[in-house]
Amino acid sequence: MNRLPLRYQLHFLIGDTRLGRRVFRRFEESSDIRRLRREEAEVDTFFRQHFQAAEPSSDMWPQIARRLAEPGGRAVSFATPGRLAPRTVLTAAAAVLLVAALAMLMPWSAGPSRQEMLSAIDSRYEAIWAVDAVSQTNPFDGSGILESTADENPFQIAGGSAAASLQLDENPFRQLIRHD
Amino acid sequence: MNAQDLQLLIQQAQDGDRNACHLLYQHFVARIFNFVLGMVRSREDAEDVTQDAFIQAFNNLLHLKDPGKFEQWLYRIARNEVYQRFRKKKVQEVTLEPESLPGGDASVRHSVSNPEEEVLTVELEQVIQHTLAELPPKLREVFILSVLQELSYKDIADIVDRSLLSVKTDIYRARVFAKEMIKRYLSQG
Repeated sequence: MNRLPLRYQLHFLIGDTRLGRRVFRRFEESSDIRRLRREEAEVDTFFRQHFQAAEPSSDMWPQIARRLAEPGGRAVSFATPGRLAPRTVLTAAAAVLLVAALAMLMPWSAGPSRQEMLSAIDSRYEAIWAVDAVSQTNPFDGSGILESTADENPFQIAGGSAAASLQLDENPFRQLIRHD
Repeated sequence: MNAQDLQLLIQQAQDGDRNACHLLYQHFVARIFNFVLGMVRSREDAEDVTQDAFIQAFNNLLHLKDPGKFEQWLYRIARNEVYQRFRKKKVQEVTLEPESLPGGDASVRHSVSNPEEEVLTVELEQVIQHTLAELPPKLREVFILSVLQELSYKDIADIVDRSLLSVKTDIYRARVFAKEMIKRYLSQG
């Protein structure tokens, strides 16, 4: 089939009947294929002619009948398409056992209760909110300067205790004003 | 025996009729025995396996849903028994015993008057047996079922539990192999 043009191969594969018939006709007419088929038939004929069928040395029926009469016959198992192969079943069972064993070996703790988790979230939220509230106070928005007296340092609010401990004379802004 | 008679017989055997079992045994024993012998290559083993296969079949006859498939089912049981035997022996190839194989036993050989013809017959039979012995079991089973037992590809696919395409391919391979073996034999002679 590999010798056929691609379009014949494709149509043969997808089952176009018109082209399929042409392909089959080509097969029938091909001398190579006819020779192959003839040789196959010759092999079959040779084997059928010269093969001598054997017969059992004795009639097996009495033994079969005796064994059939015995109780507890062995049940036969067949590998039907709907039934899994024994190796597959064993592999699946081994995997289940492995998972079960691992689950038993893993340390197990109940973990925090729902109430504990919620209270932790709440306290975290409050802390975030408090920080956020502080950061909302802008020391440079001008309101502090307008409301305060000339001697008050607006950086005190932003600088905290360290800034508050500075002497008024040390205010760099004041020094700049004096120079002007 | 036509298909209708055979179905009736199978139904009777399913109902526990031992006589029907005996008739089924008589009808199929030669074919099953020759298939098994072709596979295990030993008359003694072939007799044991054939016996086991029939016992398995009759013990499990109620499991057979379609009586029309009895023959394929029986072959399948015989094939399973063959492979179980292979596994037990731990070898795939049992030693070739010429005396135990078809053609090796003078009592079952076709009568030939001409001594030359007899020699030729024995020789050809040996070529056949040698070719079968050289084939791997996977190819041998489909070759025996197709060429010697003349079963359809579909039935063979059911028996060996493989796809139709795989069966066809293996029969083709076995034929090519057999052809080469015969050619080699003819070129020697």
